[in-house]
Amino acid sequence: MPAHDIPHDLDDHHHDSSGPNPDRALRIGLGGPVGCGKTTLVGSLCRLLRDELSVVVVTNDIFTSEDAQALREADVLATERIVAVETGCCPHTAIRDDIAANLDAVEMLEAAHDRVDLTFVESGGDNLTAIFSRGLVDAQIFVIDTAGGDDVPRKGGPGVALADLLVINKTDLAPYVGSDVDLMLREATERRDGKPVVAASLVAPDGASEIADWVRHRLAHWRADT
Amino acid sequence: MRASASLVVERHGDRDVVAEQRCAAPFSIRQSGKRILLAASAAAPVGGDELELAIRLGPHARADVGSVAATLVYPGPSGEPSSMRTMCDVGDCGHLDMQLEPTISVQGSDHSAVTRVRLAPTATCRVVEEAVLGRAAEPAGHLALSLRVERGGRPLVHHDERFGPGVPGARSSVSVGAARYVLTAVVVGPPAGESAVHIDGPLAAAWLPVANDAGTAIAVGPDRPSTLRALARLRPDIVRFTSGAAGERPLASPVG
Amino acid sequence: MHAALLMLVDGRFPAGGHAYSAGIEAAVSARDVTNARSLERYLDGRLAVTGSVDAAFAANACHALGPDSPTTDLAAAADELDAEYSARMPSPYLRTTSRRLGRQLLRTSTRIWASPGIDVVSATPGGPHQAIALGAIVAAAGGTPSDAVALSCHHLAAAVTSAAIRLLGLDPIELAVVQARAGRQADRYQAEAATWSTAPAADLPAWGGSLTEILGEHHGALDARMFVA
Repeated sequence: MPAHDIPHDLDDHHHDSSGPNPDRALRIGLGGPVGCGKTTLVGSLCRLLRDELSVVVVTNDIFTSEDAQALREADVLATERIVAVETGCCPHTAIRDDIAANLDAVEMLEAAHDRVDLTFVESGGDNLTAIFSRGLVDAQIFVIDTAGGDDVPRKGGPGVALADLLVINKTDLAPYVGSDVDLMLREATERRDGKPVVAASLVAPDGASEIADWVRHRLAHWRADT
Repeated sequence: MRASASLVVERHGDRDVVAEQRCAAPFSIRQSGKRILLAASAAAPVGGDELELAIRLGPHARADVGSVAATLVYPGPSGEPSSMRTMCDVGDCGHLDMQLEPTISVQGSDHSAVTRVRLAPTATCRVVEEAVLGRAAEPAGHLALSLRVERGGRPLVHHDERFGPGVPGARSSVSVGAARYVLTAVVVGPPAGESAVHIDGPLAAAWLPVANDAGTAIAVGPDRPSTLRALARLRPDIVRFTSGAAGERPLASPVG
Repeated sequence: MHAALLMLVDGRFPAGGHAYSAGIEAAVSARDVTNARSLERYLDGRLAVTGSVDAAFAANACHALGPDSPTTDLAAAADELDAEYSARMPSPYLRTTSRRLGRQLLRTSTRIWASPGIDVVSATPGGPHQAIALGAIVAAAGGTPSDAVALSCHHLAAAVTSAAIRLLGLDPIELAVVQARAGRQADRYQAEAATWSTAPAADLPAWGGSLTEILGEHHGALDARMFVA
């Protein structure tokens, strides 16, 4: 049997997820350890951005629809704007290695709504090595929190080091758990080659406004590039 | 023994008429009110038997086909398999309602039952197949059921299943678990609606829409009455009850 | 077999397979699968029912939608395969899942291989069933119907064993042995590949399991699940 050609040349093959495309939304991943506040942050961002932007959300909880349910119950977005993806007990696999199910969900959701501006992909709670594939998202936010220990930024890992934005959440809890927020900010900045770090407390009504500004900024860049 | 029977029903004016009826032992066909009942006049089938039944409904004809009693499938003297083929054709605007009494697989038997229903594009049907895996406190023989329903030449449902000792995955959650009674039904005509599932221990039943106006019911359970009751709660038009029993008692049957 | 074909069944191939358990999650919930022994019974059962159907349809699609196709009307052949396969999977949720897995397999594969057969299955409304997409892709990659059978069976056995490892913490070494034993059934099916590849689609195996369909539909209605099916 003749050897078969692999017909596509990566250089000349344009694909939906392989680069900027004026027809589609900016896709932002949100990752971080269990309990760091990813779902709360997605909820806050949706509330802050939904009046100016068309937003959809794909969640990746260990159990399919727990996060999606939380978002629906909080009434931050219409039910049909949120879908959940099964992760086969491996949330990092679903956002990093085998992104097919997430891509499928993202594209179906974007296709089902008129002109989506922004797609959030929330990962399931995982460990510090989790990171989103660039085939799935255009930018990513990694969330850690003060209650997880103030040595987390020093430990580093791909999430802390490579995310486009690092959020140190639950600064309101720092005094109770003996964490030093300034130390966390300083060590995180050292790890990240100048990429931004934000301290946040989402219990405050405007607690996510700085993060929302960062999202708006990324979106403006995305549109300018495309 | 090889035997065959055939039945042709046609619509004449406002009446459905048995236009042709041909049968040889062990089959006999008789009419009871509006129902057409099949009866096996000798013990059948046993190993080695090959039985074939052909039913044809002309355009606009309706037939309600049942059987007199459950079919007990016995082993043959030297272990040969037995088979029963039922071939149905339904013309346009016709309706076939067919629910024979259950097939009971006796220990040591080896039986296959094949049912093919070919519907014209506007024909409808309710076809129910039931099997009991062994008599009371008896292991089943080997039983293979095959049900295929086509409409306008396209398949709607094709479900084949094997039961009994030696079948891979027997008594697992792939096949029927610990159940001794199994039912497969295909209903074509009424709106299929949403799927529905009921699971309670060894009893599991589902209504599975396969088109806007067609669906299949699959149910397994410890016995016939409880399984039919569960199925009736999911989809009342699959199961028929005796008229006087206020929807509580399934059609009388020697099993379950 | 061309080396590139091995990617199709590599667990790292990004086609959504990692979140597919071939019914194991439901079987574990039903307490039917609790250890390696009951897992093997389950796998043997699945190979005999959906495993034979998937292998046969993959083999048939590989031939009917490949370079040696006997027909010039590939779209009609794909449509017939789709209708026959759907008829063998009455659960609406399992059908949807099968099409989703087919879409996901195509998403990656169409970046690597191209053929008229892949084009027609890509046009299937809702996406092609995974087994049919697999057959078309194997053909485009230079594989045979027998290769398609082997890959299809491996896909099932790998899904069942890796999901059981994750859900129950079973010994992966023990399950490697189980999976290797399942390969014998795959070998037997490969001997059927020539027959399956040229048979009319209506005559392909239709073995199913009552609880496979019932529990599959039930799984789809759950509010919380870890595997898509």
